[in-house]
Formats: sequence, C-alpha cells, structure tokens
Amino acid sequence: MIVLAFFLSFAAWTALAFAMNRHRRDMGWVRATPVQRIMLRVAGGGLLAASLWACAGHWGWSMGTVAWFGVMTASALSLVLALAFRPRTRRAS
Amino acid sequence: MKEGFRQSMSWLHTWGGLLMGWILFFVFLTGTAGYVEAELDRWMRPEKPLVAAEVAQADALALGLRFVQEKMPDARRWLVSPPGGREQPELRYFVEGYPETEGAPGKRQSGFLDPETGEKVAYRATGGGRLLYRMHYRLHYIPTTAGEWIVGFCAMVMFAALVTGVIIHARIFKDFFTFRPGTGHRNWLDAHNLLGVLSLPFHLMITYSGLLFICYLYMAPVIASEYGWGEDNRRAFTDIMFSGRPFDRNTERAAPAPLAPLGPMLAEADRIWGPGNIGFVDITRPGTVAARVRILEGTRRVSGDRAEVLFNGATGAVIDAPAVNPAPRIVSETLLALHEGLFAGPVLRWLYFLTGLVGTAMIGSGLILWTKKRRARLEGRLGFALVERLNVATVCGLPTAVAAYLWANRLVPVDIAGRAAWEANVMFLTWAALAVHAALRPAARAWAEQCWIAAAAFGLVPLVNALTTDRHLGASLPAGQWELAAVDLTCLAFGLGFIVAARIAARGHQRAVQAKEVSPTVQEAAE
Amino acid sequence: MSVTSRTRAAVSPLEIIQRTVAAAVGGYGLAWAASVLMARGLPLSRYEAMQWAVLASFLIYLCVILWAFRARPLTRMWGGILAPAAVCAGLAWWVGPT
Repeated sequence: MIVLAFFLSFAAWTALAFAMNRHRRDMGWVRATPVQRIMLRVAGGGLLAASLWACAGHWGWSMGTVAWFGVMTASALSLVLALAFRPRTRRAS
Repeated sequence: MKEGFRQSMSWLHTWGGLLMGWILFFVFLTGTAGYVEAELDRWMRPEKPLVAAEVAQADALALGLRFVQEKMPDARRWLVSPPGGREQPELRYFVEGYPETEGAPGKRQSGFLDPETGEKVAYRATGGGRLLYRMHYRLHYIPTTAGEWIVGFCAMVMFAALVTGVIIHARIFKDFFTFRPGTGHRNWLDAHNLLGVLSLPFHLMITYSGLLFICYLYMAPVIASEYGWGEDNRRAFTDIMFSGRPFDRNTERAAPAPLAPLGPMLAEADRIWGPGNIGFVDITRPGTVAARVRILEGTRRVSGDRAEVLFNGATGAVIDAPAVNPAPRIVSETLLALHEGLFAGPVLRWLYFLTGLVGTAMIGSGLILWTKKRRARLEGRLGFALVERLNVATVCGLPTAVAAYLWANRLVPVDIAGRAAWEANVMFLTWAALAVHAALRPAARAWAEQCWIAAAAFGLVPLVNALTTDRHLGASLPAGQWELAAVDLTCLAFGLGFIVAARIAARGHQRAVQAKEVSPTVQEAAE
Repeated sequence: MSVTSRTRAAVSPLEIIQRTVAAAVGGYGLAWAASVLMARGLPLSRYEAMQWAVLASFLIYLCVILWAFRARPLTRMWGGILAPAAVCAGLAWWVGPT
C-alpha cells in the first residue's frame, strides 16, 4: 500500500510535469496541445487523490494525510532527480 | 507597485534568511536528528543487549513500581514508564523531590532498570539523540531560556522568510520540477526553490508549531494579561494547553495515608485500552490523602492527545476528570503533535526524517545561493568572505560535528567524569576546528576539503562502531535489529552523499582556478 | 528572470533600521495588543479565548513584519502599525481583564 501510494504520487507528478512544455522540450518532445495539457493535469490531480486514498488505506485518514504530504515530497524529489540526471545525449542547460 | 512589492519582500527574504540562516541550519539539522532520537539513543548505548528481552508490560511495570517504592519512599512524585514501542524502549523511572539524589543537589532523579530483574542498569553516560533534539530548541552551553528566545526569534524570521519566499518566487508553478544540475547560481536557485516548494506544507507547519511550543515564553505578556505574571499563573494556562488538565502543584503537607494497591488501577487501565498499552504511571504525593495516580495510554495520535485515567491514590477510586478540549486546543494540540511526529511508525518516521533533511538542505542552499549571486559584485569584500567562510563551516562543518558526536560516543573513555558533557564538547570542538579551517583556506578549496572530511567522518562511523563495540552491522544485521543497523547505514549513506558533494565542490574549485587565471587580483584580494 | 537582474533602488541605512525596528518591535507590540484584545474580547471561556489569541499572535506578527518592509512611504508604514496597535491596546484596556 505504501509502495502503491508512492508510485501513484510519482505518476501524478510525471503527468503534471509533462503537462508543462518546458519539461517536454527538455525531453525533446513536441509541445502539448491544450486538450492534452488539460487531460494530463486532470490525470495528475486524480493520481494524487488516489495516492491520498492509498495512504489512508494503510495509515487511516488522519495519519494517512500526514504521510501523504511526506510521500508527495519524496516522490517529487525522486522525479526531479530522475529528470535532471536522466541518461541523455544532449545537455539541456 | 507589484514589482516594488516583490522587491521589498525579496529584500526581507534575502537578508533575514542570511542573518538567521546559520542558526536555522543548526536548528533544522539537530531537529531532524531529533526525529530519530530514540534510534540514536539506542545506538549510543551499546551496553544494551542486542535483542531486547521480551517482557510482559505488566511484569516490568510491577518491578519498576516496586523499585521506586522501596528505594525512594520519601519522594513527592514517582513516574515509571514500562518498555514498549519505539518511543520508550526502556523500563525507566523518574523521581521528584527525593532528598538523596546521587551526587547532584537537584531534587530529580531518573534511571533505567532491567525489565527482567528490576535492578538498576548502568549504560555509558551519554546525551544520546535526546541531546541533539534538545539543542534544536535551546541550543547548547547557554541557559535554556536564552536559547529558546534566540530560536524563537529565528523561527519568526524563518516564518517571514517562507512567506516572502513564496511571494517572490512568482513562477512557483512554472518552475516546478525544474532543476538544472551544475554549479552556477541558476542551479542553486533551482535547488533552493525546489527544496522549498517540495515540502512547503511541512516547513510552514514546523515553523508555526515550533513558535507555538515556546508561546509561554515568547507571548508571555499576552498570557500574563489574563492570567497574571509568575510561573504558577502561567501554568494555569500552559497545563491545559499542553496536557488538557490542570496539574496539581500543591506542596502543602497533607495528612499521611497509605497508597492504595496499584494492581487494580493497572488492571482498570488494561481493561480500557487493552493489555500492554500503558504509556506511563505517574504517582504524585504518595503516602498522603492527596495522592493521585495518573495512568496514560501508550498510543500516540495525530491529534496529540493520549487518554488517561486518574485515581485517588489513597482510596483507589477513579476520579472522573474529563480533559478540557475545546476547538482551539484541538488546533494547537494537532500542530504540536505534527511537529513532534511521535505518532509516526517506521515509514512515516523516514518520511519525517527526509522532509527534515529537505528543509535543512533548503536553508543550506539558500545560504550558498547568497554567495553565488553576489560573487561577481562583492568578491574581495570582508563581509562576503565572512559569509562564505561561515557557510562552509555551517553547511559542511556542522554535519561533520554531528558525526564527531557519534565518534565521541564510542571513543571517549567510559569512566571519565562528565562523560556525557564531553561528547557534546567534542562535537563543538570539531565544529570550531572546522570553522578555523574554513577561515584559513581559500573558500573554494575549503568546500571540497570539508566535504571530504565530512564524507570520512560519516563513512567511518560503522567502522569505529565495529572496532569499539560488538553492536556493529555484522551483529545487528543478522539479528534483524534494524533500528540499530539503520544508524550505521544512514551514516554510510551520508558519507557517500558527501563524496558526491566533494566532487561537485572540486568542479567549482576548478572553475575558480580558471577564473583566477583571468583576473588574479580579485581572487588574491579575497584570500 | 532572477531577482538580481533587477536594478535595486538605493535604500538608506536609516530606512533599513526603521523598518527592522518597526518589524521586530512594532510587530511584537501590535501582535501583543491585538492578541490581548482577542483574549479579552472573544465571548468564550478564558482558556479558549487565550488559546485562540496565542494561535493568532504569531500570524499577526508575521503580517506586521511583511507590512513593515512593504509599505511606502515610511510614515504610512509607521501609521499602519502604530494606529492599530494603539486602538487594540486602548480597547483591550477598556475591556479589562475578564
């Protein structure tokens, strides 16, 4: 359940990051269409909510909410490091 | 107007953050260590058996209560906490008002008991993780009140720095997830923003609730306006704020009366909360008609409150005293509980620890960012050199000093007088030595060198542990003693982290050397 | 677009000192006066009113600190702190201890 919460939140941040053209550009992707951006944002929000649900499933609602913030921090940190130090051919600086 | 607003907020953020940043770094680092206080306590007492004996709580409690009753019958207060859970792994007693305390003139005494025999056990004298935790709100070597005032002032500046940080960082969502690794000032700005944003709710919570903890000091005039000055009046408020009940501090002589049997009281607590869930037993004014026996529940919650049952110690009857718990107290208590995180199990505790480190790193990166932004403009000025050196000594030196504290725990002879104080002295002497080193070396080189020192200091902790005790990884891992092994393994991880940092710093140094070849005069003036 | 790239208007040391004093001392004064007024004025039990006041005091202090560095010119900044502080203190004195 904890691992699930982490990956749901990680997936959420990933969706939110790829709703932003800056990160798409860094990855060498094409710009997102407005519809795509909205869909990615909705998906991100939904996944974050699912992560909260997973936390609550493990810890109960009060402690789960606290844990959710921690899980969001940890997963966002992982995503940022993954984006910054991903293997690549072109330096995006 | 809007730009001017942002600019003045930026000014406040920059200068408030800089001037208080070094103390705040200390507060955040030691506070983060406080989240693993119990684990450090255990690591720093290697005399404890590798695997704790399984003892029923009721049996241990009975031994502890018998010990204080037999050995300190004249005490005004006995407090016994049974082993159980992470927060309180020991059978421990605390006694107040006992006249013949060992060596000390104070009227308080506490110690550990063997949960199987009820005999006193002697661990090496150590401040443990608890001392680091204490430093985060009252510093060290100075009176507690002075420390709390300084930390409170810094916390208020931190509060302002957090809010102004959000205001000036208007692109907070545009820059989300953005981190471009490197050593330029843009990279440090990215890092600082990111670390701040990623755990902003934690930072706001920890700062606000931290202030709340010392409200009795910081907002004493507010409390005094309604309750009057003086400790007794203040406590009329803080007793309810912190425990939900007024605490009996009556010292007048009460008529003697024997203490009612404790067994039925403990049985009643077990009936309410289920067996083995007693946090502690607190007996005040035993042997008088005013005796009270308070039994607290072991379970911790996010709302902070623990249930308790109160007995009349002379008759053994339950005293029905429901907690005062109106809405504002629930708000305050929840904030305080969130700050301490005592309810956190292993995973949540790791998350707390990680978030605390993120906060520490945010402050550190802010301090470094200040110098990175101003190098071109201010390099060579005395003030700039001072900031740069203080940064090295704090961001690299302080973690190394904490590692030295762990070294001292293993290396300071067990039988010298004032041993626990010497552990802390070693920590601060190390810090002072590294500050001198930072002052004498060229700044860029000082960064790299101190990162290597920190890497060695942390990375060698498991080795020092293995050479001095048999509570090392080779023993703790096979026995599955993870809370013990976690300290060694975390130190190893910090060691590796500092190696990475040292290599980044070395790259920065190379760049500085190249810059020196271009404009030697500026660099020379700086050194 | 980083903050440094913007040109900074020269600020006199006297102004900085005034703003810092206003934030630290004036902020504390206003937070104190407003919290005491809350503690005395809220129609709640003594403990409840005080607990809300203590919770609010730090937030009030925070707002005043931001104001002290924001408001221009200095006279407006001082007025914005001293006037409400005087009003709160006066009202709190008038209400009196409960």
